[in-house]
Amino acid sequence: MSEKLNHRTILRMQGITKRFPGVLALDNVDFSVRRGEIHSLIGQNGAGKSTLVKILAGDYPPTEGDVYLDDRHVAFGHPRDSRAEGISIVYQELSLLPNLSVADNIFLGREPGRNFVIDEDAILDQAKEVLGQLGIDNIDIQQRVALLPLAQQQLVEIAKALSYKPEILILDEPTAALTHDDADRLFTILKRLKEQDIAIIYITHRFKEIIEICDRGTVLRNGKLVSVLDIEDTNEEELVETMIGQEVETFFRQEHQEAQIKEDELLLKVENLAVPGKLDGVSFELRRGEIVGITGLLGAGQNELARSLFGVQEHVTGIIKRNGKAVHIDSPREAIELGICLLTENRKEEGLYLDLSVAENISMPSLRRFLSSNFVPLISARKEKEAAKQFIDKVNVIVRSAEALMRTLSGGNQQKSILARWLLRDLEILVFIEPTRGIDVGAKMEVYRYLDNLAAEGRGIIVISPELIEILGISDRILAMHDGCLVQEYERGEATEELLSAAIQGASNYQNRNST
Amino acid sequence: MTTQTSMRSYRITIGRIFQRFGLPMMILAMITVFASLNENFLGFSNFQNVLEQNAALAIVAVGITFSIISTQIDLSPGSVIALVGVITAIIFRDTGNIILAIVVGISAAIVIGIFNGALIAKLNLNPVIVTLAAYIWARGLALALTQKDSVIIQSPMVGFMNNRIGGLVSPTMILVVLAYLLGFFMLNKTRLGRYTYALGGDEMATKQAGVPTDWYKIGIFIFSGFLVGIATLITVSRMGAAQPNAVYGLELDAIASVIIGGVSLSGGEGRLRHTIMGVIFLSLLNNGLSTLGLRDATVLFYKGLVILTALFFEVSSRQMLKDEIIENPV
Amino acid sequence: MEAAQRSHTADANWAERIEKWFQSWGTVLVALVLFVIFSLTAEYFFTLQNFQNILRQVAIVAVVAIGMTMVILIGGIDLSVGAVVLSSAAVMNSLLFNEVVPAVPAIIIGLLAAALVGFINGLLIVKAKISPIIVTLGTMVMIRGLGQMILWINNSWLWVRHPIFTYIKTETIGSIPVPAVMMFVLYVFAVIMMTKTRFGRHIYAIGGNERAAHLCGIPVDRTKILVYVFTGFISGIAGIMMSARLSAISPGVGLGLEFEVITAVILGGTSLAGGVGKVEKTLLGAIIVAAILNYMTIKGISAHYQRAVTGFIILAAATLDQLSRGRTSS
Repeated sequence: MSEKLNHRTILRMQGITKRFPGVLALDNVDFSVRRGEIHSLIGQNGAGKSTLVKILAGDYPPTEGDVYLDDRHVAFGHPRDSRAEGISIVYQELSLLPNLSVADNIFLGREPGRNFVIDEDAILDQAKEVLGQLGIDNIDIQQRVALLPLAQQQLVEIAKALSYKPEILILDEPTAALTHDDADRLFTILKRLKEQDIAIIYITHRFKEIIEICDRGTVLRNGKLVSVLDIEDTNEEELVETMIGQEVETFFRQEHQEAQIKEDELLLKVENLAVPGKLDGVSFELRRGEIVGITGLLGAGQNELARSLFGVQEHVTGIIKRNGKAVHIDSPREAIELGICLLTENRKEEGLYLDLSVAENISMPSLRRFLSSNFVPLISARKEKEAAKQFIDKVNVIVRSAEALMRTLSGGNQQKSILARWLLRDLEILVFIEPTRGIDVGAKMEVYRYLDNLAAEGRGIIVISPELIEILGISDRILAMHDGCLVQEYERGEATEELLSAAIQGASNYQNRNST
Repeated sequence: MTTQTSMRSYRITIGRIFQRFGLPMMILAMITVFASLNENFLGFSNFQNVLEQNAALAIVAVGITFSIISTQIDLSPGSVIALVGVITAIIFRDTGNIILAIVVGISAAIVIGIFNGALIAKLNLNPVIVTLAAYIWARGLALALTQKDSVIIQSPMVGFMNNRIGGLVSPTMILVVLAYLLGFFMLNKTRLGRYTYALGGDEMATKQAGVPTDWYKIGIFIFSGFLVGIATLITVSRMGAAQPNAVYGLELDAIASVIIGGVSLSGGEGRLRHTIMGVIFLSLLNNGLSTLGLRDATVLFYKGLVILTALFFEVSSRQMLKDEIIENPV
Repeated sequence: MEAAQRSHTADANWAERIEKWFQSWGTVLVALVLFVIFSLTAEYFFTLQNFQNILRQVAIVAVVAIGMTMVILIGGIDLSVGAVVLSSAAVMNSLLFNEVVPAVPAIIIGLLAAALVGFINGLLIVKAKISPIIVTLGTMVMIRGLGQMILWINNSWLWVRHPIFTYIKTETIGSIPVPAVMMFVLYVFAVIMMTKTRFGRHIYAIGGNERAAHLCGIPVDRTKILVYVFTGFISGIAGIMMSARLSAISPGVGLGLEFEVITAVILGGTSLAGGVGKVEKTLLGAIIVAAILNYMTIKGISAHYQRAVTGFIILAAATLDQLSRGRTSS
């Protein structure tokens, strides 16, 4: 598996190990990239791709291992250092300042001008030049970034990275928010960069893209290096299997219970749900015992859909019927009372109370259950702790005691605690957005198994995820969304990754025959 | 569905109207009310009064603008003016050298700024705590140094500052104009200004871009410290003495001016012209209330009421405009 | 960097443990140390009468600090408490002095008025979404004005004359002054409320992560408003105690109270960011501040220097707090 010393190799990471408290993120990984190639880093969430790339970008040092640029040993103490060595990275979360203009953002920190004063004209000229080199001519460089559409913001982010004249460009999920056309434009730019001998490290979980533009791929699983592939010698299915380490079918079918879907028991019926600019009249049903998977590109409206069911989405119109009765869900409280709960994708920002204990985090929506008695509205710490412990075990949160502060848990355990919270609350309808984000592969299986059990117990589950194979594996029914519309609906077994991928990209042959 | 959309456009239209015309309308309303209650209000000499009585406020507001944009709120200006004034007066009293006294005074203001800025930037303390503490200790020191008495400054400087050249402008007014010109320059043309916005917009991203944020945070405090020094000079000249109890509540006035003027407390945006409008609003309010000859208590009550109302309109209209961005995602 | 990594696991446990211990017991340690130093260096300090003095001094600040702790826990702040103490005392004593109603209704009206101010604060902060600093600065000015207007109607100040107040002022229950007993009782109530009721748990949740609290179905707006109402109410209770302590209510009553209260809260380890802090530690913080000020009085240090010291105490407390959390490196 070691890289034959290729004269075109520009980057060599050797024996990289990275430990965080309680977690081994990378285990003796080798990774090398050649000039002028587009090299994909492949792996599921939690496989270690981000960690590897962040080490390269200078966010933190490796616990063990070395990095060589052009056979020169380097060590980065700050992102500044890696940039100076010719490495530029574009993260999925944009780092643009919303109130500054495009030009100002590109040159933030390096504004031309004599020490004190900034040379406005020089900024504008250079910004124009940078965008021009990329063939981007439709963005107003004086426009405030906040007012640009997401796709253009991403392009600005890439322009910013390129303005540092890197030799290695790292892109983390660059097409997550882009339409087909935007993505094509991006690929043209990337090919142009290839010709300039720039090495590109490309992280995506869109296998189609990998096949289309990448030359080689390094597959990681659970922090370990699995293999390095020549893309033209492989295909999508092989990529997926290498990534998860087993055949796709067996991974998800393990212990899958026969879905006991009560056809006539409609837990939820949604009619013409709409949010201006985001969601355009979506209708679907959720029956008792089934798992409905919803997928689409970033911004296709699936998150807004989920939020509408939980009362945290503004400007919602349409009808929601719970057990046949039309209801208004204006707040999470009302949703919970209707038996609906939501697990958002931003667990840290939207779910965790870092300075409270694990038990307190888990019990928060269920406090009424732990009152000492009916007359005295005081919380019984004992009851609370017992219940929390029960679910800590069920979901396998690894923690010394239920009283430990949430802050001290690893990311994966934090995620699981939020899951425990809603399981404890015990509601009939569960809406999960990216339930396995940040959870390693072993734990993912547990989560899928748990979802299966929950459904079998008679609940209705909605899972929203951008990972097509995940959706394909666990859903009884799949809803594909594109641009705010529900474009296609599949029963279990009807869909393939290719069909789904096309549907969410809005390929016209796949318009839903039932769409209004 | 149509009623929802029309409600939303209704809110957006109102929001737009308030944002653009709200403050000027309130100022106009105030002028009308005060003018009708007091015939001297619209006189030229009163106009000069307004400028001079609120010169310190106007200058401090420039510094506060930088503070608020960079999300480092500053509650100390009033107390620091008192302390620096006392220091200046004492040095003059003991050395007879007015220039020395002024230089030391302004330097003291800058040093206090560095002190506060360093605690905030290097120790990561909350700006509210640090400047609140300064609010308390600076005032305490001012009172302690003078045992609550005023220290009179007998210097030609006093007369000079208040003398109106050609009956029109006094050096005080000129200083105000200069302060704003300096402010414009710093905010729009220099790195300090650019990073003021950057710090308020996203401090983490700014740091990642390689900007030494700590130094710029301190730099902002140095700049506003300098402005506070100038404001002290003006205050002390106006009264001919350094009063340890001077300018109580100046920070409220300054912060209120900036926010009512339209600079958002969440940081990252706002312009000096907003501050100017807000300062005009508060100056007229202060002046108008004082010309009415009301009891202190009543003045306080109405002033608080008007400020709260103005804030209500300003913040609400900004909230309404947020709808616009949601409505028309590009 | 690598050496630090290798020894990290070995040292981590030690440093972690010391940090954790200090976070919980640091304030107590400081209190004990100060207590010993003061007792050794000032004879009068360690006497029953002096302790009774300290308790009397601290009672009002500590009581208001209960509310302030809660407000700061949810991420807000209330600068109007001093003004509310003044105004509720003014209302109560005005009614009593003019013999409009008997004692109990007068007190209840005063408490309701105080709670009403809290309600207004809550509405403006939560519903109109204006920053707490600005709203409460505004109400502070307004309500102080109102209180002073009430006093003016009664010829500038009000004599406090009622057996209830005399009782509170002079009596002791088992050698603990009545105000201190009231304080302790209120604290017991407060601790139970914060640790054992859903309301208290919700406060910690909202302060820790407001968005998450909302997503858990917690009534965020309602809880926040209630916290401000409660703070107003408890300032009203402090108004009763203030009436008992002074023989007359004058316009300057309660000036600066908010800063003494905030000092106590910060010293007690409550974070201005919200979500972290305990009511009982605020009590300790208040006692420490009162003890320090008391010691300075015994030593003959002027009240003004004491004030300056208060400011520095805030800085010291905040710095220690940051250091103990290991967050001084940005």
